[in-house]
Amino acid sequence: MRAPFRLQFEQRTETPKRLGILVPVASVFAALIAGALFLLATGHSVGDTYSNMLSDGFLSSTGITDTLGLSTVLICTGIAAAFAFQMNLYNIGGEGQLYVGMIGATWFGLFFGENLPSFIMIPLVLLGGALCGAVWIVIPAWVRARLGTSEIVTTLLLTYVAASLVNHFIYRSGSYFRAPNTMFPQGRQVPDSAMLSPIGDTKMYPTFFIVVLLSLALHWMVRRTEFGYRIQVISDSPRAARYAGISARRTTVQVMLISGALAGLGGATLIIGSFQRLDPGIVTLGYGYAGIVIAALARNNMAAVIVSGILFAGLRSGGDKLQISTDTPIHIGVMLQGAILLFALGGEAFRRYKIRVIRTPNVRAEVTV
Amino acid sequence: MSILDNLLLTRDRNVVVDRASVRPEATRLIDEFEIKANGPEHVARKLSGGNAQKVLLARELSGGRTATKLLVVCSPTRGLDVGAIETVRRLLDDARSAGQAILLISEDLDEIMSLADRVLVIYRGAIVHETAGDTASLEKVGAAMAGLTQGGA
Repeated sequence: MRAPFRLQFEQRTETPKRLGILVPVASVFAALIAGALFLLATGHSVGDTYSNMLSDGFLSSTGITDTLGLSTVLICTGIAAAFAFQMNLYNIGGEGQLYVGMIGATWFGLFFGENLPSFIMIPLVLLGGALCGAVWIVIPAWVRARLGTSEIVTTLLLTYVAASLVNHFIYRSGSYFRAPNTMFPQGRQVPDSAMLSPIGDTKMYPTFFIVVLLSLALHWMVRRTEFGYRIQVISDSPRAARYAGISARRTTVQVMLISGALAGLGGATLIIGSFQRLDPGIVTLGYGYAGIVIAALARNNMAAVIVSGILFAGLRSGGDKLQISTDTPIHIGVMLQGAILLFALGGEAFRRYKIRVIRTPNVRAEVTV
Repeated sequence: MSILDNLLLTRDRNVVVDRASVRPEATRLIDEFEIKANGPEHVARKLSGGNAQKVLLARELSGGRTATKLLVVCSPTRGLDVGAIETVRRLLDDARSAGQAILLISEDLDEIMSLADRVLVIYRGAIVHETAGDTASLEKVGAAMAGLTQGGA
């Protein structure tokens, strides 16, 4: 017996613009439906869970400001990932670069903070974090450009080194980063001049606006400048790039360093904002890894990262609060993130191919004797 | 990469790439080189072989920063359909008439006979036969290609 229909994949010669929006939005909805099935299967109310998440993540005034506060670091790691991904450089070590950015930002804060005013310290700490994030990707960038070593492996492995580094700086007695005279090992708070206070009575910091502006600036840079043109030529056709005298090697190093710097900047925004100290708890939060998903959902578009970053922050902070307001497990938020990534990547098929359902004619062989 | 971005490869690009100023020229070239495309933004990869070949010629022949001194074309019509072959050959011929130096490398003898002003045959790394294009005979060129030249080999 034959199947009543078959699917035919036709490669698109042009992708309709609306699909660029439709596919990510549909992915989010598909993920919510998948999440609903799990909620039903485990005996939780779908309506209550989602309405709580929606209000705690986006609609209530504390919900939305918490979300925007959290989105600051997620947008950073999101643009860090997207910036490298668009040149087919898979920097998945944003997590590690974030840690090192945090270490760097804390060091700059502690070392200069007592003597310098805030208007110098804030940029200094941000740049220091970015610088250290870039330093952490120097080796992967160099071996990738020179020897073609997979940056996926090197950046990932260095994340574990970075995590150990954070722990080392906190748990080693007499460490510069460690608070003296405390029972439990914890980080030393940076001086006031290296911190910003939140906006009003929220958990949102002015760094949010800096990060949003930075994303828009990068978006413009990618589309309109010679540097962005180079990135595009190399990712589309390395041979055409070589022919035109564009050095893929140099651009690879530049793009990876910028990617690392953006993740490091994310670490610095945490120091300036809610963390205020090097906190070993960072290694459990996965802000850097989340950036990969955020970039994928935004299809590596720097401006769209702002939206997907805020969406993820909302899912996450709304999901975290579920545990408090209901008996729903906190992991529903994490599960939704995973499902969104899965559907967003799967949805690429709809952008590349036109999918046709073709009915197979129902032919019955009749045998007459 | 779009057709427009392809043209930019051989043109001056400032720090801020000004695509708007190249767009009219791209539209004109698409017309002039008979490229079947929806417009300057058409992705070159998604063009047919013949049209992609025409984009290459448009890119190289339309000047810009690296105005081509010598155009080396190797089997420019291989794998193209009849119509595209005709256009590509005509474009090469037009460029020649406009004073463009072209080195045509091809295994298609008809192509060489119809286009070349001078024909050189290389056999085992040495030029073994030279003749003007309009007096070239298929027999002599063919024999030279097989290494059968007087005094040679």
